[in-house]
Amino acid sequence: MRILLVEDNPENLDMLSRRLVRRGYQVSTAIDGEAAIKRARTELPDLILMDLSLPVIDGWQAIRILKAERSCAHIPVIALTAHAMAGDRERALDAGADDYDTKPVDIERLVGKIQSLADR
Amino acid sequence: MVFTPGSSLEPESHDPARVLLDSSPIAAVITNPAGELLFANRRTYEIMGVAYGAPLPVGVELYVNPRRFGELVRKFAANRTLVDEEVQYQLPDGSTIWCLVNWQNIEYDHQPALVVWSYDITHQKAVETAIEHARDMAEAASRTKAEFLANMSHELRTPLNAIIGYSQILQEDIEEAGLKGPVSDLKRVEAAGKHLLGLINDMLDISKVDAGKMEVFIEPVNLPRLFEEVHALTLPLALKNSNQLAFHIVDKLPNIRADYTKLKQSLLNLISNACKFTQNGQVRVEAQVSGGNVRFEVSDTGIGMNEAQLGRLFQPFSQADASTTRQFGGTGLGLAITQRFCRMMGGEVSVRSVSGEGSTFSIILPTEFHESSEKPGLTILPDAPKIEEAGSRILLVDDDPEIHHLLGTMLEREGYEIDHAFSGEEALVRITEQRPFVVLLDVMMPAMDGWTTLGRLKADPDFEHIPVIVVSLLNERPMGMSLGAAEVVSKPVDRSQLVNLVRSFSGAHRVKVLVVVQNRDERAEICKALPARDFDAIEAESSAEAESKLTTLPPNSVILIDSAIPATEVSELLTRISAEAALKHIKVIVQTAHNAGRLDADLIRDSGAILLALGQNRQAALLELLNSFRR
Repeated sequence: MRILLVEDNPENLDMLSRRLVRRGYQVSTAIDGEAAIKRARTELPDLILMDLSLPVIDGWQAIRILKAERSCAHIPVIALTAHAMAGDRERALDAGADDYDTKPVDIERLVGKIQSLADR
Repeated sequence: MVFTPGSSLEPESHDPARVLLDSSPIAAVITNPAGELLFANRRTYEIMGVAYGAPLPVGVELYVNPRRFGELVRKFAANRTLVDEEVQYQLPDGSTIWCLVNWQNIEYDHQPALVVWSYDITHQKAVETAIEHARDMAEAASRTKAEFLANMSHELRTPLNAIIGYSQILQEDIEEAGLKGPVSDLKRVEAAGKHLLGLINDMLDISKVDAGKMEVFIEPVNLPRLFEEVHALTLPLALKNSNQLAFHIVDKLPNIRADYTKLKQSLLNLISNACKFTQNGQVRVEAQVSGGNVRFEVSDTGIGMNEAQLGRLFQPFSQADASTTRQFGGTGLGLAITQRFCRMMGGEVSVRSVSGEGSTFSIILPTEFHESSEKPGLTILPDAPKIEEAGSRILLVDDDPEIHHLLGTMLEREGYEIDHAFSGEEALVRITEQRPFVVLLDVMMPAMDGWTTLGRLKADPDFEHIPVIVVSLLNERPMGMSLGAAEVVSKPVDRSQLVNLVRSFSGAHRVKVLVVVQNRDERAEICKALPARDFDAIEAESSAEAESKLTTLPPNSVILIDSAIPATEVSELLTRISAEAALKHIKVIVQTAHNAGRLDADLIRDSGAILLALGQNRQAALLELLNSFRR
């Protein structure tokens, strides 16, 4: 399964991609919202993990744009939010995310969410 | 009136009463009903800063603020006495002092007279001002600190996440390499990192709440789902101490409304406490609705608490006592946060406990959040509106009951319903209870005058769109129009002119929304929420029905198409709307879910339609969007 991981912090990016690769996923990465949109359009991943606070175009905008695009709208998106403050969760779902998870990431919990979206 | 020499004043006297009066630290001035000075004691001349026997200012001349004098005169007339009023006097030399004054009716020299007692409190006033200033500065400093902490959040958490994450990766690396040794050390690093993260999160929560920057999002809460999530999260914790964990919902519960995240965090806090302080015991979580409240009880068979421990329980960082913190871990902030969260949701958390036997924590929340318990930073997502349609309601604001009778009867005969307000303040209250379609506002009113009221009405986003017809005595049209009045008429009011004017405002400004939603219940829900925001809802079950109603829509209307309508039909509708001149200005909102991919993106873009992704807050987002069209 190909996952596009969008995260601007290099350590978070490194940690998460290594752990996902270890679990058998193919991971491609982007470090800002604009790059994420470009990558999603060209690679058409099976799932997108999107950190919400991103430079250039932020996560919410990027999700909205991808969900409005015919070619990408079907790709499930899991939004990653920092500290599950009420506002973050609602905004993630309103932007069109299919699910959300909180950081720091509990890898088992995240994998569970990835799998349940993949099974849909 | 100024005292002139040759009156009955005698500077030297041995009359005991006089001696007493002249030694008083309180200035005493006696005047007759005409305002002429009859007597002033020695202290009066002292505080006025003039020589004994010199002319003294009396009455309104004394007052820095003449309106204050008028206010006191009115009060005195009403109560026959004036007690401990703070006033600012202006002295003959131009300086000002603050005095505490009392007025009394007396008989002086067989005449009715007024005595004014004045006690100089200038010094106290200065101290008071200084204290207020110091308090404001302290509050500002405290807010700044809280804001600083809140902003540090990202900075503090990022490196911690790296510590936790990499120690987890290292553990995986080691296990993969088949080693065992260093794993437990790394587990300690991970645990310490998580503990620190918990502390930071809790501290930031508390300072956010205390800085008034914590928002509350009230929304419908699915209790079974909430319990499932909480159960999954707390089961490992319960098993750690070999505890049994049980969840129970009493009866089939109606929907409750609360802040989901805060309720979940509060329950997690209570349950994790219960699990921590119980060994080989039971933790039971129960939810029950009675009256207008929902009650959550988390009870355990753990070590319990004594009176002293219970007293300190909800204070930050006083986890029962210091030894328990060391033994049981935790941040010591959880309960303080839970208490704040419950209060923000209009509820409360309480506890019963017996040392050695166990504890029961209870959270009580209202099932429907009431605006009276509103706190700053509150966002309430609209549910079913409680306000009826505004179509025929007029708010009449005038202090004169005669006008209410005259105009009210006249307008009622035309078929309108009238809300009566006799003051600006009352008008601002009435308008929130029942939304009128127009306000008739008299300009000449005591207390909050008409212009101020007009300003307040136009400044409030909830009512700024309601037209206000100003009724004034003089020609004040430019003033009225510049303050935002829709029209200005002058007294005496021409009856037919007023009726025609009112009629011109009814219905004209209500934006029509064509709600094209297949599902009947969903459609009804949306249509119910619209009139409260002054939208007229028109229903359509299908795109065909919508098409038939298109020509009835005025240009400023809005069409809402839901995600169940097939993409091809949506395209047809959009094509038609873009093509016809009469329909071109109608705004279209298309709700999207998984159909987004199938909609014609080019057509959407060209037609200017707006996509609204379905999410948790669909209704709030929709209303927000509709409201934005109005501006």
